[in-house]
Amino acid sequence: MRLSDTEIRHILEAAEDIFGPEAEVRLFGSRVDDTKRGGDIDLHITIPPRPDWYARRIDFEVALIRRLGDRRIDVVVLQRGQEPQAIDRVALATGVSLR
Amino acid sequence: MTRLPQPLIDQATETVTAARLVAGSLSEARDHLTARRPMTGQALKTAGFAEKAVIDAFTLRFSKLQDMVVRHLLRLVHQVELADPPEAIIDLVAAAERRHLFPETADWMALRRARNGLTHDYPTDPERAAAALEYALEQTAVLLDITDRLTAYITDRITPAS
Repeated sequence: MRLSDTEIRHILEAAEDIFGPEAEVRLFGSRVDDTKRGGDIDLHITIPPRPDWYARRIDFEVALIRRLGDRRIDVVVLQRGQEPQAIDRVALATGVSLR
Repeated sequence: MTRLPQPLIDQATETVTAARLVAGSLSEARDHLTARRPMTGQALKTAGFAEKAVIDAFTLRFSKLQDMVVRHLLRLVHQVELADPPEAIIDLVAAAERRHLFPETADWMALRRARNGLTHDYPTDPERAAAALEYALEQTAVLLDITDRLTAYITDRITPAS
């Protein structure tokens, strides 16, 4: 996977701050492939259901831009119990847990 | 006080008028949708043609007003001070923040993300699309406030003192 230890630490800290300790964070997309270069940071977060999940998602993205710089970061949030969509299935099948 | 060139005054007047028109239309679309809140995936799935048209109008105006802020109003703040605007958007935002015309940079970043969520993220997922729409509806007040502050600042500087 093509993320530095510092980047992973920032991502996990922000996820815990914003979504709580039960958040599961996966990296998916091109950054999982060590043979590629550059690319967006695609993150998939699984969380317990909460009504403010979308606002939290935006807070998380803004927090990451502040910590990692203005990069292309895309976040998909799946609440447990919610029916996974195609993007969730791809992320769950091919993504790498950051913990 | 240096008199501003007439072409700049004309351009600023036109831009401010256009931004206020879009802001008014956005406010109108937001008010239509507010009556149907909270938005749900089920509501989006069963929305009729008229409701979908209002949602499309809201989405278009939410995006368009942000574009007008970035492409025109933020630059005009400098031009009406007879200064060259900075190139980078982040510098334009910071300069507006220093003039108390903008909320914190993080709020602007959240608005931009709200726009992306509304226009790109969930074309086939009504539950998530509804959440993105709800969030954008909440953020509309921030965008309208920014527009008010910027247009008032520009108008103040292009209006001759009596």
